Amino acid sequence: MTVNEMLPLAVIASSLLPGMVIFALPEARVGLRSVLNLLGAMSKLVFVILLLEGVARGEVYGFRHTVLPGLDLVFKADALALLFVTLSTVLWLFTTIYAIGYLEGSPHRSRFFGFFSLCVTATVGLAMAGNLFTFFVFYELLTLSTFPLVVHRGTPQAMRGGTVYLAYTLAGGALLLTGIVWLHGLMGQVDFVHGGSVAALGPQATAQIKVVFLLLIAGVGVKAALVPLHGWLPQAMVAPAPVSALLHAVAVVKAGAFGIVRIVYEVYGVEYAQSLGLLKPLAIAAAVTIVWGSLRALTQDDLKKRLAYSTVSQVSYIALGVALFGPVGTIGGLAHLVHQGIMKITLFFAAGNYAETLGVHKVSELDGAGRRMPLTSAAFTIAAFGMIGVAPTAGYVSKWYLGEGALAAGMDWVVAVLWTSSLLNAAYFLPILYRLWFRPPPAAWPAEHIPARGWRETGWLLLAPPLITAAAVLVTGLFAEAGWSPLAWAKLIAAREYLQ
Amino acid sequence: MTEAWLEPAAWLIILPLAWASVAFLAGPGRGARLAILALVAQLGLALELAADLTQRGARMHAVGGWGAPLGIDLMADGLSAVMLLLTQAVALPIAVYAQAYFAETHHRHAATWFWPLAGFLLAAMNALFLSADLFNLYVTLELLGLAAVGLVAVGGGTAQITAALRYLLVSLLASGGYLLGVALLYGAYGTVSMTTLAPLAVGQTPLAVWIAAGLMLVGLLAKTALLPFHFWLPPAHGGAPAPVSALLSALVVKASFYLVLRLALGPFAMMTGTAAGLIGVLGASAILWGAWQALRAQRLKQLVAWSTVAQLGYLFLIFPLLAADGLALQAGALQVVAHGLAKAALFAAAGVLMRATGRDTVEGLAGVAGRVPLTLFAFGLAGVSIMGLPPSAGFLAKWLLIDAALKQGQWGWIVVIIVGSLLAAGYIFRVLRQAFLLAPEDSHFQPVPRRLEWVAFVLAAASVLLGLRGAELVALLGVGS
Amino acid sequence: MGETHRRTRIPAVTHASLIASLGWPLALMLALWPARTRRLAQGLAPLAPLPALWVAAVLSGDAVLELPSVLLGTRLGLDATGRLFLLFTALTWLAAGLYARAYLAHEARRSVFWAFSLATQAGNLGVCLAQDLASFYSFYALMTFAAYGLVVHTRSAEAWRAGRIYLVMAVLGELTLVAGLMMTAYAAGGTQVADIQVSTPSPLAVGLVTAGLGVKVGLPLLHLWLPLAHPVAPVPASAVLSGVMLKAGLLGWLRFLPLGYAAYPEIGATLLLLGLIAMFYGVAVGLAQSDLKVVLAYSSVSQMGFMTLGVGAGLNAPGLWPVLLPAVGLYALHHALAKSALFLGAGVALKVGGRAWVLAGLALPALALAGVPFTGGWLAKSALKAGLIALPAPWADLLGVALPLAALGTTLLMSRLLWLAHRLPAQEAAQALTPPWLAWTAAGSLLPWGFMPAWPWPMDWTGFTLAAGPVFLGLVLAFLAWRWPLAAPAIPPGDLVVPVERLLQALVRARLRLNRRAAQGR
Repeated sequence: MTVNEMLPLAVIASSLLPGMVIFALPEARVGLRSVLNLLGAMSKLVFVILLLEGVARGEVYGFRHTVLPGLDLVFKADALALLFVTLSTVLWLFTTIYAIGYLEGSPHRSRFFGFFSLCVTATVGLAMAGNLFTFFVFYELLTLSTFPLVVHRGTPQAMRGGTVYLAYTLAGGALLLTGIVWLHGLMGQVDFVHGGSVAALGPQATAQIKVVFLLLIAGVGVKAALVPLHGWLPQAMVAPAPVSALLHAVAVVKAGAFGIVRIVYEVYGVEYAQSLGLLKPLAIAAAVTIVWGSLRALTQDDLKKRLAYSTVSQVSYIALGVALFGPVGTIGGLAHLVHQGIMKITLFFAAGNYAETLGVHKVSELDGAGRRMPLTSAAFTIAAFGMIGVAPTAGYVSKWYLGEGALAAGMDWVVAVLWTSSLLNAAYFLPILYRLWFRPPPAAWPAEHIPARGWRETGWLLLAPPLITAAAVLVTGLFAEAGWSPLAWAKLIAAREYLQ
Repeated sequence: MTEAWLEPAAWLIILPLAWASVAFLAGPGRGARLAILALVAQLGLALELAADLTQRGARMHAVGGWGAPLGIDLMADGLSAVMLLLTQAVALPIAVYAQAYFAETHHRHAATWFWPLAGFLLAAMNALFLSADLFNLYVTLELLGLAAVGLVAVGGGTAQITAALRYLLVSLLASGGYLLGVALLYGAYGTVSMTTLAPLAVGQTPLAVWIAAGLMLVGLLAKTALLPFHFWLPPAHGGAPAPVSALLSALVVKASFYLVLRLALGPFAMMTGTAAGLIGVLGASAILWGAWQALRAQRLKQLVAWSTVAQLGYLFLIFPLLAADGLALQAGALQVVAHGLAKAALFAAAGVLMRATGRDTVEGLAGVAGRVPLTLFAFGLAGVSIMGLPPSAGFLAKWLLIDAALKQGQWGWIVVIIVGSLLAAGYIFRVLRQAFLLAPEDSHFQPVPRRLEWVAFVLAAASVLLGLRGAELVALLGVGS
Repeated sequence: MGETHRRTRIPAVTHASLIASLGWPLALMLALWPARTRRLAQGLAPLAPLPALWVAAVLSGDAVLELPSVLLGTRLGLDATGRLFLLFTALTWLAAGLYARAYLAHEARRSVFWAFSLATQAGNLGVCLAQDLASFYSFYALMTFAAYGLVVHTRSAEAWRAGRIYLVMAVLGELTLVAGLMMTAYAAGGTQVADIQVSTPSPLAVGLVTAGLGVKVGLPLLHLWLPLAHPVAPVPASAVLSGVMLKAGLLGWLRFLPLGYAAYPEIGATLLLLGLIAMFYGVAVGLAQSDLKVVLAYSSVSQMGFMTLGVGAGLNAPGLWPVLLPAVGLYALHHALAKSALFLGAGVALKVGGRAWVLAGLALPALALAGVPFTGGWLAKSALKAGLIALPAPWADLLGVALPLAALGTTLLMSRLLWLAHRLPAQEAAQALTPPWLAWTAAGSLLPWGFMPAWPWPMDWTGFTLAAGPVFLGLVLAFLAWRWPLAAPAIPPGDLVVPVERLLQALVRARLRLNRRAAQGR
């Protein structure tokens, strides 16, 4: 086995192995568990950096293992995979730190962190999947490893949320599987290659190919929360805050969106998909989702529910970028994959801090929280402005590229969608900011609780992650055109995708 | 050719007979340690046999030397090797499990006859997989049935005795039908060797042969608990002690399925070809009905038992799809192995869960996730294979089935397979969901030996990880076919 | 960008100055947060615009800072227009800052005011320096959102209402602006101002940019927030809101409309018409107000109409733009100085009452606004008129009549202001506020002379008559109105916003009722 084959596996193993050990750890071994978690996260980061450096140089990383004759597990760490892997790895590190602080003293932590590690394992595996089958393997693994996290609290609401989550995602998995098998029957193993491979089937299979596209997109669309397949996401907000961060930013919805990217670019090929007329409906579905999610977010009083609907809306920007035929839209969509992640994770971290420190779960209870928790609220504010798309945040940059991409693709109406969405984002985020900063705080908070190792407003494990990610929201937006930015990486991918 | 006394195939039969006898002589509840040691050896023998087959690549691996005085001819090919491997691979951990399980005082009486019966059961099963003629097969089948009935009854409760009697009745009727069929065949062709029969039963065949085939197949299907002959299974498997249920559900029903498959591939190719559609429909109904019942079951082991009914249904979907490309056969074999390991894990886990909660109801599982997390994890992993989710062996089996159906344009089966998987997810998660609930105030959990938990976990992990080595399994299966 | 980059040698001092002009206010703002540095930061806060002032007044020609990796490729620098805007922006902020130090002497939430004010200021200064649309929009957004804190600073009920309306309209404006900029940049193939000024975006793009920025400028119908937000803010904040922040919208027009390059007759005509309406509408509604600061806010609506005329004419007839650009710039300068002086003066008047010296101090910038000869307003109006009368028919004739009439209206409005100030009861003397105000008033009267456009305009009696006549007539009318007062209809500040607000509230109530019914149904 060469180094180039080993590295992708090392990335997967660096969370799988600690996860397995953690499962077996007794509850009381807090220190060892935290060390294992962080060790895994750090070593994964090191491997990812090695990969990034290599891929930028043009190295090819991959690995193939035959499971059955004609059925291979394929891993390839190409530029697109690394975009997602890097996002997950970095955010996983912060989420782990946050979760250690958040769950301090709560029961069943071995189980939690075990599944937590499995979840990120599934995510990086999915990102590096080199064919549809491998993608499906990790897609399902992701479903399974997140379910225990969603229901972690064990309350009836958590169970309801978890059941809805399962029902949606397993049904989506079934659709995806049907599509994959169908395609398998038509053309054998479907590897992800630049420019796609389905076009080779020729014109007589067009009708089938369209149906398969629908099945595949619907399958991954469940996780990407495309309307009307989004029903699970707001329900799943009962999960603890680190899990929400995982669902909304690191893993699950991203996995769906990433699947759309892979299917359109590397199974069908964007040119072929465009020639079949498949991109326009996708764009419309994404546009509807963007507006619908924002509309629903407007009326939510539960903070996390509002954020959840906001995710429904924001993740579809990625699908929209994919559906815009042309490199600029692609760049916008791919950059948003990262940008949405860091913005949304900041928001959920902050929401978790309000809940954990003040016992505040509702927007209407947030009055004056900015004065009580200024740093958390500052992080929330930056991320909220990012969601609205105000410059110079990361959200502005991705929106800008999406708009330019839409104009280049001749789909001017998308600009109107972006306009509406931004307006609605402002309409549901600005009132929160108003309450945070401009309303007087109440005489007493619902359930104030100051963690032991506090840093002025709350425990430093809870405070540091949102501050870092909020800074990242600013920095990735402000230095968007720098060589190391997510945008630059998205440009690299787009160049390779369109110049195959 | 190795020396006769070194022949692994023969020792696979002799060893369990030996330790069963020792256990019988040693008295109630003894013999566990010897059994485990012997099972390790058996597993080694099965591996050696498999390696031998793969290396020589022989079409048929016939064993000489024992034939004349005993009247038994042993033969092994890829399919037998797979079955033998599965049998030993499940039996060994279950034995380890059983030793700990029956160590508890209040289970002592249940353990009285477990070890001798289990030994005879394994000997009969190994012999079945190694037999090449229909009469020998009958003998092993009968032995197997009796041992299994005995095992069902070891619990000693009224319900268990009733279930055992019902099982006995079915078993006897089925073997009776089978024996009649063998007699008819012998009358028609003058031979009971499968190899010689295979080329005879083609073209214009006498009515007697059709009747014989019908009797034998129905008998075997009843033993495999295919719908509508499934009624005996849930009480028998659901009522027995956990290690017994594991052996029965994972292995015993597979033996009669193995026979059906052998017949369908050999002498009865034409007959099964005619009835293939019907068998497939019955399988499909079993998948849906079994899963539906599992969704509604109140008791945990009943749920797992109904899941067996459903999972066995998949095995029969292969008959309409048997074709030259061998996809369906591979699917069937993989499903046998995947289900064997996963179901053993499920029953082992169910045993732990019952032990921990002191109850057998699904309802009573609330909060158990915090007490025996490893077991619950094992249950979930085995569930992955049962649901047919990747990367488990269960997934590969279903994938191959779907692939075969797709290649032959038989779309209906695909729908059944996917719906069946979703229903399976329904009942598996019904358990997991309950387990994750907060424990009610008045609940108290019993401590459970760690060994029980680990066995469940190892079996479940094997059923999932095997999915990554599907290619090897398929290669082994290809030997001699 | 056909031409190759000119590699001028730019000393490090230039870069440092450009960065300091934006970084210094932001650094001061951050220094307000830790308790240890708070007092120091408060003390230095009024001096925040000094680096910018240095850049605008002293730094030589090609002061450019290229940051290609920032945003979509950032370019900060000064051209003639930018230098002018930066100069009066920095100066006005300096005056307002010094005034604020006295104004807030006994204010408990001083550092909150300074924090928002410094952030707003950084945005406002940055807008002047931005030479590409992404950085322009970033600074513009910073300014807009930070100014919310200034608008609601007093935390009164009116302030909350004004803040809400301000924010809604500002967000609408900014989103529209971004949409327009997207289209413009697509047409121009770049995000630099230099690219955009020589492109021909679609009329839709130009319309969106115009409308988006029009919210800030206070175009009629988009002005609804202005008469509410400007008066409720603390006086120094009102001065910069009305004095210089409106001009950020104007500067946006100058930057992102292809003025002088491509003709957009319809949009130009619309802007001309809106400018005309604004001039008179602002006066008409303003006359019905009885709050000094509201009158001043309406006067701003009216005055921005003059500048709108210039931009509209430029879109209509690109050939005139070389004449119009300096005139619009001069007008912006003049109005910034005069209006901020008036607001600061109104603050003094409200504190000390309608004393004679206060009235005199107010009269100086008021007369300038009216365009009395030899004031800055006179210079600006003459320059603007020189360009406007070259417009094709019917605009030339129409404007020939309208401009004197508008001057008459301004005179009336200013008389109303003075009359209202005169009626204020005398209170304690507010010494600390007076020096910065008076100094600023004096400076404001002189400064425009330094920016006289270098071309001859009619320096004959006709010109003087045309300028002085309306003012005289206005004063006469004002005198008559004082002697024989008419009952003016009371129009609430924000005029049209009131019915719009009621309509929206009714809609929200209906929606809530539906929700409740749905919840009950469930």
